[in-house]
Amino acid sequence: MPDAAQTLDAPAIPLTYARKGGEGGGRGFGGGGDGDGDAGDERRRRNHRAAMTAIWFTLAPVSMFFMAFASAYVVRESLGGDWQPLVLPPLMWVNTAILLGSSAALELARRRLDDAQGLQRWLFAATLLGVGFLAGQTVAWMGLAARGVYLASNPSHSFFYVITVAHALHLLIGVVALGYVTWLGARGRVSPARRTAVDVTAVYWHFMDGLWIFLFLLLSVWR
Amino acid sequence: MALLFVLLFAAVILWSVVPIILDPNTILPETISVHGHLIDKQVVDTLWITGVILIVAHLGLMYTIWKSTKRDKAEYLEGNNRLEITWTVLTGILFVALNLLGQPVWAKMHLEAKPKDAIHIDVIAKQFSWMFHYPGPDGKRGARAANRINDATGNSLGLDEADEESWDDVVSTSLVVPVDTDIVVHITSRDVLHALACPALRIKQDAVPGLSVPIPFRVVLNQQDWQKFISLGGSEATEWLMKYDAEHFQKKDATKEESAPAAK
Amino acid sequence: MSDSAHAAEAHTETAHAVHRHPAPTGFIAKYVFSVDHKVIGKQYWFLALFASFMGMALSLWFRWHLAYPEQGLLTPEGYLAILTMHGTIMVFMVLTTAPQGGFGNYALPIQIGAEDMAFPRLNMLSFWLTLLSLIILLAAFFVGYDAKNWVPGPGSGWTGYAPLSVVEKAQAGKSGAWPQTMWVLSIAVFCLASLIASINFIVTTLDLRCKGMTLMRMPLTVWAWFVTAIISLLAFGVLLAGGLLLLLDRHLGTSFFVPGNLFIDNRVVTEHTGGSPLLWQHLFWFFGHPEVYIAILPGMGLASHLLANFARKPIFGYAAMVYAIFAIALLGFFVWGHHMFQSGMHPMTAVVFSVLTMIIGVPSAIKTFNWLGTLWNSKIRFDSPMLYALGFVSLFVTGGLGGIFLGQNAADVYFHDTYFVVGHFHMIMGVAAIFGIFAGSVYWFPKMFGRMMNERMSQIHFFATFIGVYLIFVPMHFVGLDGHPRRYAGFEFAFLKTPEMIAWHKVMTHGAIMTAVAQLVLLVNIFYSLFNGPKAPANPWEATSLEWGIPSPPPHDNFAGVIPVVNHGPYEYSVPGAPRDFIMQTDAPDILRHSSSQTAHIPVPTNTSASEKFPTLPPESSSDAGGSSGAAGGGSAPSDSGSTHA
Ligand code: HEM
Ligand SMILES: [Cu+2]
Repeated sequence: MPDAAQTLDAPAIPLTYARKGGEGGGRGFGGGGDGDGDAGDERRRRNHRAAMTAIWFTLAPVSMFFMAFASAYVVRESLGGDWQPLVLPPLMWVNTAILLGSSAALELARRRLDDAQGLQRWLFAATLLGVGFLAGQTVAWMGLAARGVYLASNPSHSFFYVITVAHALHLLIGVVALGYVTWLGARGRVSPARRTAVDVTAVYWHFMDGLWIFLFLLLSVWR
Repeated sequence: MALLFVLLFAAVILWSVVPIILDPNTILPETISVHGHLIDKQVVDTLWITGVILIVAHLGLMYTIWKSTKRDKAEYLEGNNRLEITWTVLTGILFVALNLLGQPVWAKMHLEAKPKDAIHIDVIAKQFSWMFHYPGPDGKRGARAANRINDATGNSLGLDEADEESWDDVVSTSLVVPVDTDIVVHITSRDVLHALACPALRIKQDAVPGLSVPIPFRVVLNQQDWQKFISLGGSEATEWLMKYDAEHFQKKDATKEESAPAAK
Repeated sequence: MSDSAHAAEAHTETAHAVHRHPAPTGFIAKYVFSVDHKVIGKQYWFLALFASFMGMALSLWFRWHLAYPEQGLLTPEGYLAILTMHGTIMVFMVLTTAPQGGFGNYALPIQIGAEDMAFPRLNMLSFWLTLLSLIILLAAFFVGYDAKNWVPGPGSGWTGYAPLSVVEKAQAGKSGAWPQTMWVLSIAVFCLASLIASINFIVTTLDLRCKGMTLMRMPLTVWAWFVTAIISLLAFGVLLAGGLLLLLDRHLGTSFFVPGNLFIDNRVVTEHTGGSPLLWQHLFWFFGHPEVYIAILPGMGLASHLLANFARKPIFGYAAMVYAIFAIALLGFFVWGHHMFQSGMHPMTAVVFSVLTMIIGVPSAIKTFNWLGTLWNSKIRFDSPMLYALGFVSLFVTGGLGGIFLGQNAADVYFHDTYFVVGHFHMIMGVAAIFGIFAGSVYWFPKMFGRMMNERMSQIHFFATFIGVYLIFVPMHFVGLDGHPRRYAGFEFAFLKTPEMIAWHKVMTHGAIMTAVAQLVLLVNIFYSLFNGPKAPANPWEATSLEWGIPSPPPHDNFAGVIPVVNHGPYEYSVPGAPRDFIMQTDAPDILRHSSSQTAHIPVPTNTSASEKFPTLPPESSSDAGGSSGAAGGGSAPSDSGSTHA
């Protein structure tokens, strides 16, 4: 196979070039803008922007994934027949509160990017609450299983487990990300200038939080 | 090369259109149901429209390709908004109008109330044959249940011997219906999905377990009005389907049993 | 931004060493676990090449059986298994990988002036997941091995309809056990790979465009890849969700898709109650219809690109083409029900889906009109990519017209589940989209491998394939019109055994053999040219987009550390007054005036109509572009010596 890495021949066609860092890149739908500032900063800004675009777009398939479950849930429920409504364990209200708390802690952390101590404390709290939610969910599942509610015992149970476990798995990714950000914070690698990791995690985490509220409402109201 | 392309696209037109013109049978086999004629009309209308589009599009390709050889330089032309809007609106109207033309027959098959006094026949699919459950003189079909099914004893539908309504029921592996009579077939399956395909009746319906889909139809025969019944084919193989064929007209040949291969 | 800031910037720039990714050394880092989008693009392309020959071999197998069933080449269940594997391999591993993963990966970053994809490591991950998915799928051939009754694959078709895909014993042999599970797993992994890839495409397109590359200056290929990525992003998540539910039904006894009281394999199925087979169909086709556009949109983008390139004309109605792509993508999510007209869903729903389906025919028609408009008054060059592009238009028209029958719920009563459907989707997806892949291959081969392919062999391949596929797929419509149902292993019914029907089937099979032989020509051409083709110049096709302004093959980071500035729209061919019949996107803004003016840094509109349509850079940044290029030593003085037509 011919070697892909070659030295740059003189382009056969006259080209206009800008030096690196001078390129602004297309800014969202605004089209190609112009560059400014120092090259390193510009690079960091670009990476930040790319990461933010990526995380926002990641929410689309995640939403579609859960909307597929949700609409299947609604359709399957409407078929009636063997459907037995499931009463959600009250513990899930507590879990919901814990998750909301975690989001709040993360927001508080994000307001303290220049205060290393406070930042670290709140990030840790957010992570801990995230773990707390997962633990709470596990307890809730175990309680249900003890009551004879299994994955295949009824379609409503199946949907309950599928939806809550799928959400928990997505949340687990978020917890790992939070843990990573906390670790970064502990090593002093989060600051107003280096906020990509924490911003990306926050978008994902808040979304998971909102998604949970939607799913929780769906499961508890639409029975 | 331009010449080759002109020939090639001319061949495309001929190959796609001529067999249909030469052999009308290729267009559609004859239909024997009332709604079948409406469906045919829809198909033939569509065939005209799409045929013209196919020919015009390829003639357009041939023409532009050929004309291009006569030029030294391309014309600098970026588009024409008025043209864009015109052809968008026109194709939109054409396609939607064509679609709406077909809605009456769809309504007749699916949306309108089923005819009164129709004979109701259940059509049950299984791997790999079809079964037809007739009500018998009492006009009622007995209940069926999966746990009573026993293919070995011939109770492939799971009828209940204790159920009076089932006593006079007729279970057949072929469909025989009276002509000039409203029939409603209720299509379902006892295992996986199957597709009921009756080209001559212009009926096509998936058979879905747990779901029974009613399709009304009425057979009309043009030349051979003297016939009272028509056998719509036998359960020959993996699924059942049939096609009108003059030779198959037999006075009331109900169960022309053909060796059905054992379920695979 | 003030001028002094610019001066400062230019200053720092020259002072800084130009940052470049170091090129990896060593075979493994370079060609196997590469993060370079160009290598990953080639990997996808080779994967698709392998898969397409695999899929083709399978099709020859059952095509032969269909013409000569008496030879007993396949059992009925073997037929279904091979059919399933053929469909799945072709739809997922060829039509979804080559146009997007292959060419999109290779060309998109270069065409928008980026050094790589936004997330090179994720890019590598998508490829390896895709490969994993292919391996799992191929395993489905063998995991059902059984000395007595070996059925080589699952029998549920590429659509995996429940309950057949759930209840193990509904399928012959071990077909419904591990092979079916492998099939679902393969698709689940494929979904993940596609999701990751599409995020990468979207971010790259939105955030990594070079200076001057406004959205409305992007080549239509880029638009197509971008929108395809959006479609994938929304569609694959749903398939993944459906696939997981299917797995749970299969292995953990849930009842999402399987109703109760089934009687299968001489017993009542007690594991399931009350599920809905239609629910699977809705989830599947919600993905499935957009998927057909995932397969064809990149081909449409490329056909547009090539028609302009080789007709030496601007694309007719650039903006309309972009809007049509978006219209197709949007409407594509609201028509899935047309696959279910006869499925037993509510008949009123069918009416709604049917009308929407007819409306989606409109943007498809717009594209065709615009292609004809592009060819109008053109000066065509019949280089091999153009042959495939012209073939694409013909095939797209012929195949799309079949959709006009099928999209009408009333006509579909007759055509559903017949060979007419098979003819329709093969014409359009099985051939038009594949012609897009052919076109991309011959078009970018010089760039990808630095060597030209053999024109004569490409011509032979084109004509033989084009004739071959028309021989196969037009008669498929005819036997469909005659009522021949699909997915049968032979002529099970008396009425099908007419001499005419048998003759058509033989025509199709022999057309298939001819087509297959033609593919050997392509294969020889590829591998011969890879090593022995003449060295490719930078711009063999005299094209305008960015990849043709850099050497063939390009350096490791595409632009060797300098990023281009775009000054022109993508299809400036035969512009009156231009020094040559194409203006590259990176040509100096004042190329039209260069002979009369020495003040190269004063921007002038390239031509009046173009500058009205395409948002051009504000004068300030254009002059900046000229200045920077001077600083970079790239030389902005245009010259006529650039023509390198082979
Ligand atoms: C003019 C636009 C189109 C219309 C109106 C249309 C309509 C339809 C309809 C109604 C069906 C279902 C037929 C049935 O099962 O009874 C169908 C099947 C199909 N179409 Fe199209 N189609 C169009 C364009 C396309 C394109 C562009 C592609 C692919 C690139 C495509 C690929 C397919 C495939 C793969 C199937 C069959 C799926 C299966 O059952 O296995 N179609 N089309
Ligand atoms: Cu579709």
